[in-house]
Amino acid sequence: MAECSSGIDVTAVRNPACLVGGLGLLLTTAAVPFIAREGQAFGFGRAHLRLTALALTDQFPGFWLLTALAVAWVAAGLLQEERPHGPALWGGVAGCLLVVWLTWAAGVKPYAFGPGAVLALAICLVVLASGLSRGGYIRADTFVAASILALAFFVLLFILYPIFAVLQHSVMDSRGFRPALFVDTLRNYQAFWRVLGNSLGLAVFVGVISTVIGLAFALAATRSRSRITVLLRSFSLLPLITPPFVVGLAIILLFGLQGFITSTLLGLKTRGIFGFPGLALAQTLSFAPVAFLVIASVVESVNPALEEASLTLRAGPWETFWKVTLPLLRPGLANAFLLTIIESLADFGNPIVLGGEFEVLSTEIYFSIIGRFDQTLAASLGIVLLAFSLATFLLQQCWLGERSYVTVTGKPPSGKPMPLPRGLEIGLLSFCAAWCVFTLALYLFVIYGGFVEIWGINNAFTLRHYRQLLRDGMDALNTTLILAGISSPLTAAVGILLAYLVVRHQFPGRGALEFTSMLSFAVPGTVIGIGYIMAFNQSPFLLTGTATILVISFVFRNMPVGIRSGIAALAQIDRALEEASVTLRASFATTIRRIVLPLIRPAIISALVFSFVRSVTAISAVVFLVSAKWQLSTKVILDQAENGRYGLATSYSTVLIVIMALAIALMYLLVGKRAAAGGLEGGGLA
Amino acid sequence: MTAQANPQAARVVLEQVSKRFGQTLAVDQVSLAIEPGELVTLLGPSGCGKTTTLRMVAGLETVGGGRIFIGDAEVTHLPPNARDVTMVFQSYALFPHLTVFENVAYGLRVLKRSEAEVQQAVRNVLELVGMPGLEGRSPSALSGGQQQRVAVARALVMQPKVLLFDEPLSNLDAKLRKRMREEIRLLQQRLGITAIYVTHDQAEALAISDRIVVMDRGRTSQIGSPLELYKAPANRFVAEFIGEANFLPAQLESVADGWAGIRIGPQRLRVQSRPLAVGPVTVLARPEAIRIQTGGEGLAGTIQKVSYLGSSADYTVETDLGSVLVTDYAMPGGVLSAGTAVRLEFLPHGVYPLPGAS
Repeated sequence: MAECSSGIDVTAVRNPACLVGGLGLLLTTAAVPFIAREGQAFGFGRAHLRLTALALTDQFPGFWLLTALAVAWVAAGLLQEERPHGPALWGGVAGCLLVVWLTWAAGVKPYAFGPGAVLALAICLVVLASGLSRGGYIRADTFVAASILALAFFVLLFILYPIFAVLQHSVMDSRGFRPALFVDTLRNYQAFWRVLGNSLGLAVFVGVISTVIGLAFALAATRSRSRITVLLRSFSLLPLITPPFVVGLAIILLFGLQGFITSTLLGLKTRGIFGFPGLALAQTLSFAPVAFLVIASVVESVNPALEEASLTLRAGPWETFWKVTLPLLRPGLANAFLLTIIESLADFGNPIVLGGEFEVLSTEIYFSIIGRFDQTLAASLGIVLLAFSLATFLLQQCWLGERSYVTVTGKPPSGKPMPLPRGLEIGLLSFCAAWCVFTLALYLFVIYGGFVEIWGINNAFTLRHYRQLLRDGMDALNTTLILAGISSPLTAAVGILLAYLVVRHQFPGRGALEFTSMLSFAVPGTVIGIGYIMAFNQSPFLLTGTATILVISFVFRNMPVGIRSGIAALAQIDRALEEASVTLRASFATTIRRIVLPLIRPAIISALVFSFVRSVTAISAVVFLVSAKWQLSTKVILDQAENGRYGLATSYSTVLIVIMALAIALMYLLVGKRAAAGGLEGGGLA
Repeated sequence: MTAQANPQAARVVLEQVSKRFGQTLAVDQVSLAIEPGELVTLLGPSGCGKTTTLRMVAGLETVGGGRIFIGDAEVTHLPPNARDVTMVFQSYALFPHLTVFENVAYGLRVLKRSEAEVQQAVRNVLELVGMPGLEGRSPSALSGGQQQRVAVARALVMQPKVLLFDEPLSNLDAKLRKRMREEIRLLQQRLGITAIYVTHDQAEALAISDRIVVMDRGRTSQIGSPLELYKAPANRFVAEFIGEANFLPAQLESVADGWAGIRIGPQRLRVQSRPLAVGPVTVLARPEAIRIQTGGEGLAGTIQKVSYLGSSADYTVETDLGSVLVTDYAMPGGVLSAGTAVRLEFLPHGVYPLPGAS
């Protein structure tokens, strides 16, 4: 906003926000193209100057209003004495609405929004923010108010609007709005009940099994005195750094038609693993560690005094475990169960390679778009999937929000937790060790698979796949790493800024903003994916086929990672530190830079690393958004796996695993073990 | 009062300031004028709205209603960094990642003062609070009292128009607390700075303040000098909150020229009073202004309970007027034991009829 210094002493004016904003807006309307031709958003030629707001007034007289607003602000800035926030506030609201309306009106094919529209909206938001801040509606300065408005706008545009677009496509086709369309579509789709049953049955089954295994691991890892627990902890890392398909591919290599166990050892020629058994196994392997993290944190927060009290009341270790410890874990178990269900419903990578005839919602949505080109069916199935995911998410939020027995005080409770009863401990440890060995074997087989000519048929050692990878796969790998590298700082910034605003500031709509931004975690990636292609492949918001939409999808899919680390880190910092800083004349931006950021550095680094990792391993949303020009590694692996070229798929997966492992190791190096583990938890849950 | 004139010191005015948190009215139409160089304490139990009021002056809390002025300017809706106000926090809020020097220099650096100026000002103010030589330390390496001094120095170095204290001594032990409050008071008087001080400790408030605002459930109960509050509390709440108090039924027999004739039990005495209607009243009787004797005149009673406190003895005496707390500093007859029949004589300087029906 400092672009204007045309000889006027801004500090002498009562209302600098209006003056500067007005001048900036005038400049924007006169010189910056408000709309742009598709795909040429950032050109600056003579042709573009015919697309400025001022030039467009011929066709759309509405643009005069924007110029009028700019003039009015300049006037208000120079003249206004009393109540300086009025024109900023009302002008800001009017300006934002005006820009959106004009973009909608003028941005018709082949034109879409241009830099002028973005700039004008930004100016109006900032002026509105200064009005809100000066008017006392937000207890902070313009920077904070503008951040709130901008983030709210982004959340609306990139989380809610795509969901709305899916909803819209499920009840609207070329013949217009028909509420019955949704029901008709699903009725005409014969497989609907079977697919729904498959998805839900699988989710509940995997939820139960994963929770039980997670509990076993959690008890063994937190309560056993054995050294093996360190191994169990690092085991929890694996699914986070695992690209999709890896577990699925490993299962195929072991149990598939040419599988090592089924074919080589047992001599069976069976495709039986494809479908429910393979999927259940793959999802359990992938999500049990998530359940483990959730339950372990609850086990650790159980106050040992409760168990000690039980022991002094004549109960033995077994009785104490059954009657005190386990009941206290119930909220954690429920939480793990519901989270696993959400993950299972949203899972796309495993079903696509292992599903076989066993269709689930997420893959059917994909095939509706990619195979059948039926947007209405995709949207309708998307709404069904979304409904179940959101219902589970809401259940988790409301129900568990109320019923947590474990008090969070921030102080570690004193006393030693009770060791497990001996028999239980031995049983748990052996089970966990076996499970770990199995998991490890899967990963080794994936790595090994990359060095084998044709799995199960010609087991000769070869570097052929890696050579092919170097030749054909590097473009996608570069794109993946560059886009993940761009999006990870953005994700961390947006997530942590949002956490800061939600935790530290009071403003209307705060709860809604927090809820909506965390919502993107519960929205299955396939739904967001089709939402993005439905929302952003048409004017005025034309983004499909660009790298921008990939970055945006990374940022808003992974934002909860940043939010969680941010919230956890801020909870550790006395808010008086920031208050001290602002009473010492520092602005909120300065306070964030000089006080908050240095103190939450570990959270920032872990948010950076995990958003990077999650971007590199993302598949479910981006599978719809990649293009020939902007291809991603995971999509390449998917294509190879779908065509049965497991050698290339596994070698590519191995490369990604190594990159992820390096990223995580770097984080440990930078922030130390404890902070890294904390960040890991945030990454694991989100 | 004893403050010397300081051109920086500003008058602070609160005009019917209110603040609501959800359904509860945390601050209810508080009006207050603080003169330049004056130290005013907001005193009350927790939840009375004193801290919220202070935070509204600092700009850390939005103002629900009313207006706030600092000097000539209205600051009601200004963000905190646009007000010329600094604050000493209960938790000190020293930045843990900065040294003592950088903590104190923080505000000056934000204002982009020259390095020489920063160096000079920080050393001066650390000298002033009695903390020279520890500039390079990390705050976590300081004792509680030292942290307190750094926090005060950090607030003072900005030469604010108003200095705010939010229960600054509540994390210190009793002896240090007493010393620090004297130092803060001396410093404030020497610099002639306007200060608002929040505490729930009535002894601290009495010791440090020019005037005290007693707050109760978001409202101001009474505003006055420590002496006025102790001698002439406006109501039962103030009387109970400041010092120990007995409330006894009595007869008001005559009122004239700021004096009243009252009868408590068998005893008649003339005490200072505001104009009240003749008839039954409740009187406040301070425990240290009651003489306890084993014989003679006065209200008859029996000692129920004795607490020996070293310099004094506290007696709970059961009488016809109810149970009466007596503090005996003289202990002429040694310490009396429970069950002893005694006579209580009320001394006029410690008896005050309260307004309002009994």
